[in-house]
Amino acid sequence: MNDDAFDQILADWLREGPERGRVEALDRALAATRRTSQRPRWRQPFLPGFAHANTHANLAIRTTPQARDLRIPRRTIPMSNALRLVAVLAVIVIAGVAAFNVLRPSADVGGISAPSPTPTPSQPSPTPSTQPSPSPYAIDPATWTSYTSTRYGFTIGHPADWTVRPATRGWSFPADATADPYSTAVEAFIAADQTIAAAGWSVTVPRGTAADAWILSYCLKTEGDALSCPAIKGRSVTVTVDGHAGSLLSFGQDTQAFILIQNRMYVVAIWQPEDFIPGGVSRLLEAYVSTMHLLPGGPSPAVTSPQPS
Amino acid sequence: VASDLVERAQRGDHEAFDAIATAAYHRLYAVSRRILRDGYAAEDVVQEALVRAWRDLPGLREPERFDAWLHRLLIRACQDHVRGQRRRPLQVPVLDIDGPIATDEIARLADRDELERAFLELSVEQRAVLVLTHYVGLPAPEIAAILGIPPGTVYSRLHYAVRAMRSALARSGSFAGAGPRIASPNPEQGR
Repeated sequence: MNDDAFDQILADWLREGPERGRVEALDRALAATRRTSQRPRWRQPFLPGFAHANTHANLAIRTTPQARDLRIPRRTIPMSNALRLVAVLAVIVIAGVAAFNVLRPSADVGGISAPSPTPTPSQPSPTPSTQPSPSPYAIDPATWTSYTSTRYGFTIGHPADWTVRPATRGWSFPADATADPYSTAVEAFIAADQTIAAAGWSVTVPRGTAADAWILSYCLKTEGDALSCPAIKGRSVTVTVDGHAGSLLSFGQDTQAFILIQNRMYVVAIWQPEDFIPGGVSRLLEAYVSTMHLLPGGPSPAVTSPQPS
Repeated sequence: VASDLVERAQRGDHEAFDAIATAAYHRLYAVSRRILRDGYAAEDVVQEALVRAWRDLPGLREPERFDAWLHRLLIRACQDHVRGQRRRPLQVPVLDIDGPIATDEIARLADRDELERAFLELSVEQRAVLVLTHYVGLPAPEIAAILGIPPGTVYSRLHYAVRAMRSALARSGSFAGAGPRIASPNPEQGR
């Protein structure tokens, strides 16, 4: 039998059998997706070939070891088997000493290294206090660190263990209205466990622009949904920054606050759905906004690019 | 799949994703059923692939490549399924041979049974290449894009898969014409 004939047998055999799955299995699968939250971009596992246009170049970069600088020898001393044995023994001895120091019983619980003082009956030993471990999303702005954005003209607090990723370029509308947590045009704050992130930026708007009108155009650009965007005004919650009122709005996958002050719109966003954390993402966003203050001189002209009207 | 539906689903629109998933469902089922040779397992891996697709969709930067990406997730779900089953005995479906059957029909059923056994001896990666080539009819570069491997690896997997199947069939005596060739060690086996 030649290859073509065998390929034909294989193809015929593969064509046998059902080609349609049960509808109830599809319903079950769709129900399962409804119970699943989407993962923001920065938490995505790397999938070769889909992050960038050039599949094989991308794959090659990840599978090719980096070349060493030829001027630097890999080892300065040739490593013989005896030397390897000595190195392994040294590691074992160091690990053993470290383990002994960590694990040896302390003197006050019966250690043999030092005589323990006799406890006085009238003085009970102090009870060790247990510190409650903080929740990863504990919202306590009093303990937060302040960050100053000269680019966008405000200071804002963030949990001390969140990583700050400063903006490297100015935010412009509509080009940057993409609800992109990876945007380099926003001051970004990323939680230590990288499950949630916040962002802040500001942008000039044409004089006379109403906040609601700008928010609607922003929603239409980011959400692309002409049906739900006009209704968002009814869902807004009022927030204030330095006495200026603004709106907090929950979108599908994120929650954002908008404060229009003179001809500048200030925006703070949390990139996760409302139900992502206990108590709601809005509460975290409100905490962020509560720490926000405008810089007296406004944004630094040196880093603020002109905004199109 | 329309890019605008994918983009809407990326922004959390469940209805858009339902439309995408419904359109792709039977195709995904047919492919996974052929790789796994088990209808219920195929339903499970399609569900797993769709859940992963929904979860990770915001990270897909090229919506126009959604189909290839979804197939990649499906093949990965198949791999995970088989890894979970590895220590269990192979489940070869019992063929319905009740009632009088002509001699050539018995021979045909026996051949199908041997094909099934030989196919299940292949790695999932090899099965995927065979199914995408001989059932879906995709060219090697497209399969390479789906699986995230170079086209040359697609050709080699295909070559070794066919060779391994022919060898298994020759050992069993089925498909007399399959030839007495002995397969060389298969570098793909057991990955």
